[in-house]
Amino acid sequence: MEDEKIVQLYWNRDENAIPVTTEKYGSYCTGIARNILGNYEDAEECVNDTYLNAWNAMPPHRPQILSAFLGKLTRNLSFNRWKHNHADKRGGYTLPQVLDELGECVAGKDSVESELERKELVMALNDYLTTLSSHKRNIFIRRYWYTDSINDIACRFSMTEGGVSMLLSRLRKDLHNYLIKRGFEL
Amino acid sequence: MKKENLYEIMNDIDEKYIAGAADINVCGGNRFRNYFKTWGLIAAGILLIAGIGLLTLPLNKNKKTTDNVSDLVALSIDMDSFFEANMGFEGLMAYDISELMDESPWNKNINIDTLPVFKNVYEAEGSGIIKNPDIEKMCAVLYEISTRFELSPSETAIEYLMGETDDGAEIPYAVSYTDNGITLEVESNLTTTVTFEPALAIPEGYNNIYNASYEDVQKIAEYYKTTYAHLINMDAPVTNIGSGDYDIYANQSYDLSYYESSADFVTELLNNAFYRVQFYQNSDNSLDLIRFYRTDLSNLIGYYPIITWKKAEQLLTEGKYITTVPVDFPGAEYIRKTELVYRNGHTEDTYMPYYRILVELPDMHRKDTGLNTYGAYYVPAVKEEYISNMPIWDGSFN
Repeated sequence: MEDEKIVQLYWNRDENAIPVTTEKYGSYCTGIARNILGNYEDAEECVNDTYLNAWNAMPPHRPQILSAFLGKLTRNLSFNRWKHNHADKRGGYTLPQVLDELGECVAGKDSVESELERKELVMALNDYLTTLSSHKRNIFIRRYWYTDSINDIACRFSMTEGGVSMLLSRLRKDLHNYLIKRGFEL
Repeated sequence: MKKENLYEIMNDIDEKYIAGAADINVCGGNRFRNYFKTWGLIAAGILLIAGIGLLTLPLNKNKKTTDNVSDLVALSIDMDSFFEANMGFEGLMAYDISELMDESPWNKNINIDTLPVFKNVYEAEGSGIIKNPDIEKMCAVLYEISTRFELSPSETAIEYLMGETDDGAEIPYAVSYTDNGITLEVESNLTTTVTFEPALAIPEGYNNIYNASYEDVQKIAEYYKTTYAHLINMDAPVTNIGSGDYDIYANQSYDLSYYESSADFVTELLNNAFYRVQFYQNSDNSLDLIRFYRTDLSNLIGYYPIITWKKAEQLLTEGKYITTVPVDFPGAEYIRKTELVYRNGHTEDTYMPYYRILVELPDMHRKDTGLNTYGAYYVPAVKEEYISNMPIWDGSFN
């Protein structure tokens, strides 16, 4: 079923909205959750919570891209679950390694970002992604948004693991320098 | 800013970038979607949801954890997979157990508390055909392995090999491509078989790995490792000369494969079980087939506590095992070898570790050749409390 029709099911408060969403995007959301949590049962719970959140959000929300909207819900829920489960910041699947890599882009100091600072940072991230070729951008997003493993990315893009690691290392350095130039104190 | 904050803030990046990265394929996905529309196969239950594509190679750097033991679901052993039709019983023949080889990374001195268990992402019917093949993944694997042979399959040159489900629906079970005497065939479970016509000649001085000594096989293994390094495509391949099994005519043969070494034991164990590259020779002593094993381990169920090999041997004596051996377990004094393995058949519902215990079967000793028969007994390596249907041998599992 097309995304517009699925969204309309939510707007119509049609009970078929969630089964249809599950059929089309269940695996997609589960993949995101599993990458973060590493635990099948937790991932399933987060995906179920995704559907509930989607039901509560629509209406009034009408997402432009349903997959990304659902993916964001799942990613957020999963990351919160991971933080709750892992006070020591270990465990999970690929997430700890992904976080360690992102740690190269920031100073690691405690700080509280205001809503404005957060929006500005998101804008800067989007601007940075615009500067990349689609190939590099997709690899960056598969690693740091989808939290894919290096092996997974290598297979998906027909690259070697070493090639992926090297590229990601360069992209992290570029991101760090880009954000510094934009005036962010990281 | 902390790394967790950056990760969290990244959640809000432009949705078009998120969606753009979701639908990545290498072989040209549109063609396959058109194909399925033409054949009306969507109703056959083939899931073409883009974005999951989680062909995950072994878990590099993933540390064992018992933090979540309370969250672990009970596992169910798929007994049927042990008794697939026409498989006979799993027994090996040798004069002495020391002849039966396996270069597994595990040995009895390695202590490990947990091992990962995965759910098979593919559903196989009784016939073995996979009901939910991922054509895009199959094509991606075909393309990737083709490049190792300096081949570049075009969309129109890829052939779909069709099979039938139990209810008569047509379904692709493999994608295939042939060029320059090289045929690549990627099955639904992503195992790729490459055949050569004519077969590739092997220089003089190297014997066939069938009916050869272990030293002969070591020699040919080095030749393949060097000559075909670009096909094996591993940073640090470990040569695995396995089997050493004799046939009823007392001819001994070996299996020859390679797996990627790793500093992490679990990764190496999984590499050996699921990601081998295996070489096959024909009776003319030529290389006629290479098989690339590749299993989708993206569906991790969890890390489960496992028992020691000593405990496994004790459970064997208590009857808690699964076997295809048609004679009674002769007793602990006949236990000859214990290995830690993953059963990796594509019809397995769950990929989980077992202790594979080779037991000498005195009732099956061959007087004509003097060969002993060693039967394979499987004891689940996962602790009993996590298994919903722990086997108790009563002569049959029906």
